[in-house]
Amino acid sequence: MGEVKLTIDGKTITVPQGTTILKAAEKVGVKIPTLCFLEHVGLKNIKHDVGACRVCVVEVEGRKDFLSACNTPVEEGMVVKTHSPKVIAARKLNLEMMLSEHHLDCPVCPKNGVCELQSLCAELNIRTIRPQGEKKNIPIDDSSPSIVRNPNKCIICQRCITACKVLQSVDALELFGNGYEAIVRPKGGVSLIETQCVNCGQCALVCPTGAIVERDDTWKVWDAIADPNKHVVVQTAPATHVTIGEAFGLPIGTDITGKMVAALKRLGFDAVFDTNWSADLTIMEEGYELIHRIKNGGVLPQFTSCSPGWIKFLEEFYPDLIPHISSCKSPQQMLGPIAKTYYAQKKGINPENIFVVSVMPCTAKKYEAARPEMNAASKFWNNPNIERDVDVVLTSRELIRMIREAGIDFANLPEETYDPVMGEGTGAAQIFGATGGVMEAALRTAYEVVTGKTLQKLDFEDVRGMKDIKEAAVSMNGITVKVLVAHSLGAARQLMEKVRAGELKDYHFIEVMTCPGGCIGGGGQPIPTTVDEREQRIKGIYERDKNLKLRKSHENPEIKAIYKEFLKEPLGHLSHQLLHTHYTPRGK
Amino acid sequence: MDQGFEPKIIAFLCNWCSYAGADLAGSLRYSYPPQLYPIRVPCSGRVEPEFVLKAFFSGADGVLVAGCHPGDCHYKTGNYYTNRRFNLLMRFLEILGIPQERFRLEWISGSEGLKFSKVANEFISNIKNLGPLSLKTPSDFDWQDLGRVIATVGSAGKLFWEEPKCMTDLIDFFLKYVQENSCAECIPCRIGTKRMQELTRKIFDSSITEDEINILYALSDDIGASSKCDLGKMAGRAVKYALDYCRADINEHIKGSCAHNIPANSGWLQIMAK
Repeated sequence: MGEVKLTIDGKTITVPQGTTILKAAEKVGVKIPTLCFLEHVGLKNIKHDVGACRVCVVEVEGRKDFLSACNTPVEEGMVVKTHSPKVIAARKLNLEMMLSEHHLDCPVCPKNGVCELQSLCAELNIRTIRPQGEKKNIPIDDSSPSIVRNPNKCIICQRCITACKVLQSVDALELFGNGYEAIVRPKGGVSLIETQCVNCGQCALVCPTGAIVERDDTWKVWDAIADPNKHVVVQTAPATHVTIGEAFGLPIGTDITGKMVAALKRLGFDAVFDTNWSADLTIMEEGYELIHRIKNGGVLPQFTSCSPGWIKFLEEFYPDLIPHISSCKSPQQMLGPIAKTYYAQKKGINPENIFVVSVMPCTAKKYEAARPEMNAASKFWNNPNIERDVDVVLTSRELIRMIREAGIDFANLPEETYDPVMGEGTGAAQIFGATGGVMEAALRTAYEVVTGKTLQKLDFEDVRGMKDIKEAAVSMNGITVKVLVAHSLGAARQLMEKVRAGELKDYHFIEVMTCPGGCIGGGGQPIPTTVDEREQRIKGIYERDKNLKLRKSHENPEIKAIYKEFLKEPLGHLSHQLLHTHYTPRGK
Repeated sequence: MDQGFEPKIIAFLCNWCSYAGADLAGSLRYSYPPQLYPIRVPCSGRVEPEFVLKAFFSGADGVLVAGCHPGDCHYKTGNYYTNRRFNLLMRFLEILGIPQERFRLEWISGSEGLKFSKVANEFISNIKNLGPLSLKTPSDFDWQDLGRVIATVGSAGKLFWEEPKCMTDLIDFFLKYVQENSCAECIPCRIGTKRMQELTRKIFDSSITEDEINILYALSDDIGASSKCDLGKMAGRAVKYALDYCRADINEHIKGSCAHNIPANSGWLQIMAK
């Protein structure tokens, strides 16, 4: 590719052909403000540059019109002015237009403080809104248990559409209508719950305003904590161990496990458990299921079932492939019924009074917990007064808000440890939070179970990293186990098409994570969650894995204990009752 | 009158009717002066205001556009738009210092050789009487841009009016058209034109303030330059031209009347309905 020479704000620079004005300006140290532009939507190869907001406009000598810097490639000899008085005035007025239809209820907006529109207004020194006029008053769509849409706050940047359509290939959102009447809405104008939305929340991660946010369930948790009759237990997902700290000024990827436990205890939870424990349990069940399928000619490749967005995706778009998916519940849904059965028995607590809260990086977990079949404890006790296995799901962001609300100085908390019975987690469980982690954890256990030998090298580097589809092969007792790992549903769709076409028959196990990077890039994670954050958090995950003494699920003493005392054996009768589930073909 | 003055007239003739009419005039030996330079165009609707302005700014003393009679357009609606753009361009010629008599629109069919020769003779003698065109417009005036705006406003949607209108009416109509057709992707077009439309409505009910006119001006300037595509850009520029050059039209509306300086296109409704 050739080189292009141009002048930006009086500085001459040579850049490769095809570079945008925005990127070229960065090279001469000029920051052009942007709003709708998003360099990476989840993955590095997905870009959002529709040029909708017109905030990045620049003046180019010899042209009457302004050009949007984010999506205009440089041309030879261009003379660009990025901050001339004319351009600054235009930028401000464009932003004022946007604000003229915005309900300026910032103090009570869920995105208050992390809103990109808000910070851009501060950056551009907006002090008045000259154009005034009609504002929309569209009802808020809170039909989904995971996501709340407030179209009145939407600036139609269309990032959510790119995330939904290009990154996740779900395509549940559309830009509908013309002119001022236009809105971004669920496809066909129905409510979100009626669409094929998988609740992954990637739209909420990229939304620059408060138009798409997670449903706030913090009040339910405050109510439960305040209720003296309730024994409120909480579980923390693997990915939260390295992400909560970001919101409190700690470096991205910092292991804040001990602080998080301390914070949860200060919030008033009666017991703090680790989803890492039930991730180890998942590995036992799922690993044995895989071995069983391989030995007995079951349906292969087996798919992982930890990511609820992926589950709904499969039910919606590939219902014919449901036999492939592991019948194991996700770690969250394994801990819930165990808390209301095994733990209740052990502690002598009436299971009706146990209230299970989980802290998840994920908006889809809210949907998962609300699935009608997720009431195994109720069935176990044959007691309709026991409602859900998991009563409330909080996303990382909601927990962060609760910690702030409670006035806890998170960064300076002493470290505390999880409560026994379900508090011990291994490194194998910890890496569930990153793409490839479930696979690696399963391989660590499956290898030792199948071969009876100790695994020398625990790190399966092939399945790690941000590449969207990864592949590995491991030899166990003469069988070469071939595995695939995909993250982002766009990548999952590629694999599913191949499975459907019968091209992946010689593979044994496929891990799919709904969100790019795995759970550390989940839809409920702290904002911003960009590719950089994802990479840093993944590092943090593997760092914690390395530092843990126990790194294989089957070595977890509390897992050994539950099999001895309660479940008896993986895939046994009780396991099937409490830890396994079934799926519902949906689709249209 | 300058007796030695030989005017240059550019005649844009529609291929299907008027050019054939000119041809017939020749065959039938009806004479017309050689100062008329015919340019054959596929349809009178192909004649963009920019062409006319270019002719004037390149030294033409008069411009004639001739097309099929209303209802006879080979492309059904071409001459409807010719008429609309002609009316609008007329409004701006005056502003540019080009007397309206120097621009003429005629409907001449292929069988009207005699009519063609009469129109040509009459037009040329009028221009001779007017003398050479001396333009006082500043040389850096962007007539191409104005031409494009007139073409766009004159081609947007269907518009019929029985009595003369003014630029304020056309702006109002055009902003409504833009709002209905905006893809809503960019802010200036989606929201900006809506705000301009709201402010324009305030001109009609005489409630607009001087501050609001200034906001309208700032909006038009910005929308004309920073919209993503030409729909928004044209909306901004049309409003800006109206504010820059047709302030009288706006003031009339604020007073509750209308300048009525853009002719009606009466009769076209029935023709277009067919």
